[in-house]
Amino acid sequence: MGMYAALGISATGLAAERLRMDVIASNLANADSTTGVGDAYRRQAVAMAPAPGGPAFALPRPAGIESTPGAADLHGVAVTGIVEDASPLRRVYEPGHPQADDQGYVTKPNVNPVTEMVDMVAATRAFQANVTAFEATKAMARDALRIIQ
Amino acid sequence: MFPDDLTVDVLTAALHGYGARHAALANNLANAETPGYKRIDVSFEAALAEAAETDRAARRRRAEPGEDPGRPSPDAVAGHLPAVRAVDTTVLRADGSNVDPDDEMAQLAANQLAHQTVTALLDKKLTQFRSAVTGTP
Amino acid sequence: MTPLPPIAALPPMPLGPIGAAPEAGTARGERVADATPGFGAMLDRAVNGLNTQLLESERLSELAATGALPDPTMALVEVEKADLAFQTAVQVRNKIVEGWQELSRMSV
Repeated sequence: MGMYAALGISATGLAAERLRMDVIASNLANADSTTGVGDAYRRQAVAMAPAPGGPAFALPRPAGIESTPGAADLHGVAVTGIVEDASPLRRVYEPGHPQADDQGYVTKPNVNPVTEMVDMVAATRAFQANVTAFEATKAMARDALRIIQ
Repeated sequence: MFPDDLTVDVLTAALHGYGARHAALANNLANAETPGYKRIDVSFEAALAEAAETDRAARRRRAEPGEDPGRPSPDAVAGHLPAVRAVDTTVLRADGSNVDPDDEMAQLAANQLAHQTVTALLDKKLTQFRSAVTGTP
Repeated sequence: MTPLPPIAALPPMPLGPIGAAPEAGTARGERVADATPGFGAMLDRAVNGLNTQLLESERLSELAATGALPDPTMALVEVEKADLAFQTAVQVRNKIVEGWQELSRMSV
């Protein structure tokens, strides 16, 4: 029972990391997008939390042994929302720009390409880790089938 | 003989333990980037070894002359469950998470190998029973 | 696993010299027991040795399952050796049963 639910758990990880990659790609593509005078694209981030629902799997809790609350119900990860980064937008001095304000400043997005690249590497590694877990689950299930052969 | 074989029970209980550990490791990896997530750990080896010792001693006592050969319930190994806990005493990253993906993957590989070994041993034991019953290897 | 019953417990086979008339007052079983102590005891020892080997391989399997063995290779090797000994015993049992059946089919 632990193994087939593990497939669902790894799948939630794969989906969450792929969504994170999409958001990172969107941030990088919009690194210079202005939406009007004094306003620009705001960096987006993915909020993740351990999933409350989804592939429900309760690990057996031995009677009389304390399990920390929440430790025995594994559902993988869930994306709770795509939130906007609240840090202040950049102001760049560019008086010739069509969207420059009276002082000649243009408001640019608060996207730092270096941060996005680092996040991209982290998301890729996490994705690969979940793929490894997925493959391991399949191998273990295939192995267990040998008992009846 | 074989419905009551202690070794098969111990090997099967070990397989349950490995399966539970695998699910916990998969969950840790899925939440590798979740802020504040604490990794989940499964341990069962020491408790299982103890349960096997208890059962073996009980069977030895029952096999002595004069003892009642009936099977007392419940068997320690049959009732064995792996212990699951969230390790919330350590922190690895600024966001409060304590998941190290490399460590999780290493444990995943080790767990998988152990699972393979026990599956092979169980397979061999059951094949032996079949040989004894059918008289063919 | 329970060991096979020792050979001495099986009904005795007519292994005495053919044609020799049993002495008066001597039970046939006694003569057979005199004629076959070596073979029966040898099989008994072999079966007990096999049982010990199987018990040892079971013990190592359980240790491997609870992670107490740093190198599970030893458990695998012992299990395989015990299994080969067991298969040999099964084949020997088959041959004995075959021989017994052939003897009982012989018309005297």
